[in-house]
Amino acid sequence: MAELLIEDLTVTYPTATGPVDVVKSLSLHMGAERIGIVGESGSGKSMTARAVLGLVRSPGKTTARHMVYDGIDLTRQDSAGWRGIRGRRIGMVLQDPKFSLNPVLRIGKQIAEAGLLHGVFKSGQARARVLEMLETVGVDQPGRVYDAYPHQLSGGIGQRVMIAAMMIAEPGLLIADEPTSALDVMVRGQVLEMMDREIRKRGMGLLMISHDLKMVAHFCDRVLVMYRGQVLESCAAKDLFQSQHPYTRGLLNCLPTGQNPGQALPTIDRKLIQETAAHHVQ
Amino acid sequence: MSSETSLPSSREAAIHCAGLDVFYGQGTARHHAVKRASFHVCKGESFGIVGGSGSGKSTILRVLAGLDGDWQGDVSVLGHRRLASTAPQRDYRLKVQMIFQDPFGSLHPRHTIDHCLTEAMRCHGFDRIEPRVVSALDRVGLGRSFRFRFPHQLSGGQRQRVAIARALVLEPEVLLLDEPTSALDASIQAEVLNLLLEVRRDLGTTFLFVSHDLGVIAHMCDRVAVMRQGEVVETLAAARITAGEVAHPYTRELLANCYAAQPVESAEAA
Repeated sequence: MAELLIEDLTVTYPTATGPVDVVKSLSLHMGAERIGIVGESGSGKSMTARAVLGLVRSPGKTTARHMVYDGIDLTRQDSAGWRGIRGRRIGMVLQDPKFSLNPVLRIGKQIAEAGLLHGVFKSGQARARVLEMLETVGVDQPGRVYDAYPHQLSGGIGQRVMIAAMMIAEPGLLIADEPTSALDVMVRGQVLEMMDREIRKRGMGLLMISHDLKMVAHFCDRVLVMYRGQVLESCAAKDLFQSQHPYTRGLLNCLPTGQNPGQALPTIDRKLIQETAAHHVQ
Repeated sequence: MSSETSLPSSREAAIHCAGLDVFYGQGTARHHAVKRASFHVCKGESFGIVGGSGSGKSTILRVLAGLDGDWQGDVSVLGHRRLASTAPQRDYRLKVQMIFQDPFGSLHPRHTIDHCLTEAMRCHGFDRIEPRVVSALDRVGLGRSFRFRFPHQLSGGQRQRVAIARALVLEPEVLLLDEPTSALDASIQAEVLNLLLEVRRDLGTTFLFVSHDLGVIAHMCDRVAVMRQGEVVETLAAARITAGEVAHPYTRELLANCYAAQPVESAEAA
């Protein structure tokens, strides 16, 4: 079974006031399970996902003691090496289908691209494989969507298309970076359930990046909580709501639920979190 | 319709809206964005509108703010009858202020915070502009040190505080809030919502609060209208959302899809 092993992953950016670690010595070991990374903006969760696929652009620098997926050393890949990994071994779904799909290519062609590039199927089989995949991701009229352009699709269908394009080359690990935050609330649940079903069926691993603790707890087995580049807490998803960590508690408590309408919501004491974070590193 | 829609007549109406139809586009592309929407907001009340994308909730706010003209229906705000054919009166534009969703798009990038707060006051002929700016910045928790900064020097939460300050300096009676916290992180959202609760408690401002997040609406509002595809499908007390006592199947579906509005136990069990 394919495993992802990360030890001491650090992503550094130079700034006017010296280098800043946007991800600080992150370690993670996962198999075919569903891991969630949660945190607020700037916590380094998306940067972690990008680093795994070698997508941190200069002047950012990625360093790691080990970063290995299924025996492939991810710290020493050239662009040819990455081409064989991205899409084929590790797929990635981004937040907004509007910006991730090519606006001037028909959907069918875009989905087939990854499969053809990696030699998963021949061009003669492409149409049948793509239509089958569109049906799998819950598209009602695969034929119509196959011939459509991205602007003719709704956000929900667009994101299903993105997931289809990522699954067609049969990667073993899917990284989903806020896969549903650009979608309407009503469509969100449906897309997540479809993604979850397919990942379980294919025995894939999932690395889900999100700011939504409740959603992640619902769809993942294990959760990492990040703050300012560091993992503050790692726990089983079912224990997340019992977490005693002040930052995780703060994130959970500050969500309005309507239980105490009109009362001041608890806010996060950032000074306290800074102190705990510093303590955590030592 | 449920009993909550008829309110004690003793309370004065801030917003009355009956059979509102709003259109976008021309000819064959004419889109019926809001269909016969009716609701009623009392003075000092906080009224919520929830619904999915494209349900017409923001469109209603735009009509009330006088930003859209292609509509018909019986609309009065603070006793003024609004007409689609005429721009709102100066007094109306003072008393009804709007706060937009995206704090990155709603502040002029090359104007200082001071310019942004004083411009509207100068248009409306306010006196004592300086002390008003300082007190508004204090009220939203920014302090006077922010006065001569530019928007790009501020975080998302700070910008949204500026947007709130800009509305408050004009001493509005009605605040139209269009997803004021959906672009913010959860912990910053909590801070901004607390600020809005304080404003309402201290100044008695009437809120018309649009959001797709049932948790936020249940926390901030007294009553809620649920919209789907331009229609108000249900109007109910916010407490009934928390209790899960909703009548319309669409509201129930919305509640089931909103993980944040569920109590922690049920999210776990599912």
